[in-house]
Amino acid sequence: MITRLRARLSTRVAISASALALFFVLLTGGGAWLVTAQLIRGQVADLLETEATLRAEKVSDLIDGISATFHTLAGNSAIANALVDSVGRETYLRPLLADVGEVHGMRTALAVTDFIGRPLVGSLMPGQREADPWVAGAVASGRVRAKVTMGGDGPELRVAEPVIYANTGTAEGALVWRVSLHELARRAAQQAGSVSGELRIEADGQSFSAPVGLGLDPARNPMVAEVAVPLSPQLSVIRLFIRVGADRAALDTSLRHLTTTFLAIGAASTLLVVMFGALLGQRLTRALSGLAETATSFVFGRSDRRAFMIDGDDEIARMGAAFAGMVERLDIAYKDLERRSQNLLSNAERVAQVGSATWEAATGRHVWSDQFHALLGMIPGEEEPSRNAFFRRVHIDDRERLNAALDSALAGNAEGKVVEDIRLIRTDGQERVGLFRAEVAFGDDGLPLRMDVTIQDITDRKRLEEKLDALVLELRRSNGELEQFAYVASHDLRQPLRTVRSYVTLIEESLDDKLDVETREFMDFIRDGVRRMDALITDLLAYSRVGRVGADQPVDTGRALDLAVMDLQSEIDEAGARILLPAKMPVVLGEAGEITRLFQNLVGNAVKYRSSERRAEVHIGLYDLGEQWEFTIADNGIGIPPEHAERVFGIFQRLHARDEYEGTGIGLAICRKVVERQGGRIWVEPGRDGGAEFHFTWPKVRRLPEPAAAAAD
Amino acid sequence: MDEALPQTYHILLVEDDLGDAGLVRIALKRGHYPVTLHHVKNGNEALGFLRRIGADFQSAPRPCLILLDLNLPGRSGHEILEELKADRSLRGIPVVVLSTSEAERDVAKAYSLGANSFMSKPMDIEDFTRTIHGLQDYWFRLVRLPMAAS
Repeated sequence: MITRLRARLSTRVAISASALALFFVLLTGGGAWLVTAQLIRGQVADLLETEATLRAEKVSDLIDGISATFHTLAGNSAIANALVDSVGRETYLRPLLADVGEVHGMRTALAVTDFIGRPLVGSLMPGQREADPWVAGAVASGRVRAKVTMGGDGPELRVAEPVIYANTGTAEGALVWRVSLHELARRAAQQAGSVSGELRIEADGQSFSAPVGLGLDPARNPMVAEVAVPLSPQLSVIRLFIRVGADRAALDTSLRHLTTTFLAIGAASTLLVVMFGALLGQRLTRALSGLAETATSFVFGRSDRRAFMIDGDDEIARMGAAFAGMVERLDIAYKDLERRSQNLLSNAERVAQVGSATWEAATGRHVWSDQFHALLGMIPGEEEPSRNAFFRRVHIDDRERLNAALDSALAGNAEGKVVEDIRLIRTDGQERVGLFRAEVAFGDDGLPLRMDVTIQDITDRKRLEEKLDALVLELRRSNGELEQFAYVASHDLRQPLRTVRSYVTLIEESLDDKLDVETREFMDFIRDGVRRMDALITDLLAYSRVGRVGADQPVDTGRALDLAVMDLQSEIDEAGARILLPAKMPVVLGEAGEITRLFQNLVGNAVKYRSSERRAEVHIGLYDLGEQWEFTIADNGIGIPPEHAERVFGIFQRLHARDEYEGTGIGLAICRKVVERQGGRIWVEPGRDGGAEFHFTWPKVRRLPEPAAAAAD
Repeated sequence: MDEALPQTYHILLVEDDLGDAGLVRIALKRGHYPVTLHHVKNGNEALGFLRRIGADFQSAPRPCLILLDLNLPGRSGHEILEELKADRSLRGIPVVVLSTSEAERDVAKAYSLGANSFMSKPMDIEDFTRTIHGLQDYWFRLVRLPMAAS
């Protein structure tokens, strides 16, 4: 598990680091690349601008130079003088212009015109006889004019400069010269470096251009710089620009170099980061797996647990050290806890007289607690715990049974559990009874892993149980005897009574006329005695039968009360008593006959012990006490003095002479037996008008529905 | 045999209490039927009478009714009842159990063993006489019994 963890974690750290590194390399590298490329472009642009400026200056110098040369020439008084002298002026002029073929290394052409612009001499405008209005305009205005025209060599700059006659200050003609744009462009290109570009000239809303070097091509020259060529003020009517372009191949080469460099740096740094990540991951996982192993040993409570140390002084090492400290503290606490729980366990075992033992399948080792040893009458260490050592101390008659139960449990029967009472023969020969419990734990393969055993010393309990069993048996026997007695009493005691009673009657019949009054009275006494004796026996029998007749069932107390009142109807009629019943009576659990008898005795008493001074009234009440019902039977009769309140419920207890009130003194005893058998209580309190108020409680039946309201009328 | 009423009804009374036996005899004597009462005091004698075993019972008649007490010395009334009802030749004779006991278990047991009726012995002679007369009316007049084989 640890190895898998390590492998997974280090791979994950390495992958994460690489991904992160790649991300940063791409981000920073890409950014740097973009910035650098921009920088390169900026530098190229600057370079181009400088180059263009240089060329522009060159062109400007050239034009200025040419312009200055022709200006100086135009100022030559000889030319003006020649113009004024209309005769033979060509003759004067021609030698003046003879050596002006090339100015500043540029091929130029010039012509001198009269004031209406007719060329007089010069290579410019050869053969032209008409007046040139443009030149004439320059002469008329007295100011230099410049324009671009198309010549045989392409576009050219043409300048007309008025020639002033010094004596009058008027323009007598013009000096017209021209220079080829192509020529200028060629001169601009004649410089170190491989500059490509074009020279562009704008005049009168027209634009002309000439290639400088290779000229400009958007495909070849992605970057272009344009600079205006500064010109002297008299040439302000034209605008001259020079544009130079960077060479794409050179630009691409430098950008490619840049990309290659950045890619190399990125790859190298990614590799570095991956290696670092792997190293870090390994260090981390080694530390973590060490910590995990320590933690695992704690979880499984292994005894060989110890802190895992990590070398170094970084955070991981500090964490390891903190963990080691925690482990040490935990180990101390754990051992303390172990020792304390061991103490607690052995105390608990000693007090509870329970010994525990375990057996582990893997090692085959048995471990017995101190109390387990004590139960077997052994001292720990005296003998190596084993199945044999244990079984030698089991009573020989119990060994086979226990052995079979254990084997069965180990085979997986009865959920691997064993519960057996066994006799143990201790080393000192003393016999104890133990409750042997075992529980086998099974592995996933269904084979037993371990077994936990407890033995509880139940010798004392067993003895008590045996005593209790004997008592129960004795009680059952005496109860049976009592029952037999009651049965015999009903049978054998009543038979002689019948004999006495019947034969007294027969004697009376046969001696009909021979009996005097006194003898008849004696005969009545005999019969009365027999009748009372019969009533006593019958009631006694009923008393003994309470709780024996049948199983408890739901009983409608309303119906039981109705039956009781029906049975008492003749007594009630004779007394003229009023019986007041509650509107609703509950269903309770009990024996129907007994409950009827209970009401019969209580209502019967209420009617029987009525006062001669008032009409008998019996109120039957019902109260809900939550967990139980309380029934009351209240009368306005002669009452029961409080000092006899308890006595009346005793058997054969009577408060009145027999000739006053009939009774056997068993009725209320039966009532008490019926009520108390159900966990209820019965008592009597003084009632209204000096009467008695009997109360009894009866537990509620929770699982039964309340009787319907229609049940009681 | 013709259908005429028998000249006398033979009744076998199994009763150990002489007082009760006397009451039965008096009650029968006061009735309207010609009755010959044969009284035995225990189960063995009863079976001897019915099976004509023993010197005393060689000529015993077959009774048309048996009145059986339960509380007998030696074998109980229940045991006698069981044996009577197991005997193919005797099971046809109606057996009325007359007992002092009113215990439910005695009543139930008697009927389960084949008693034809169960009567509690009344406590005085008037009731006793009425009960016996009722018995006679029922068994001698209302109920059609198989004619006793000779």
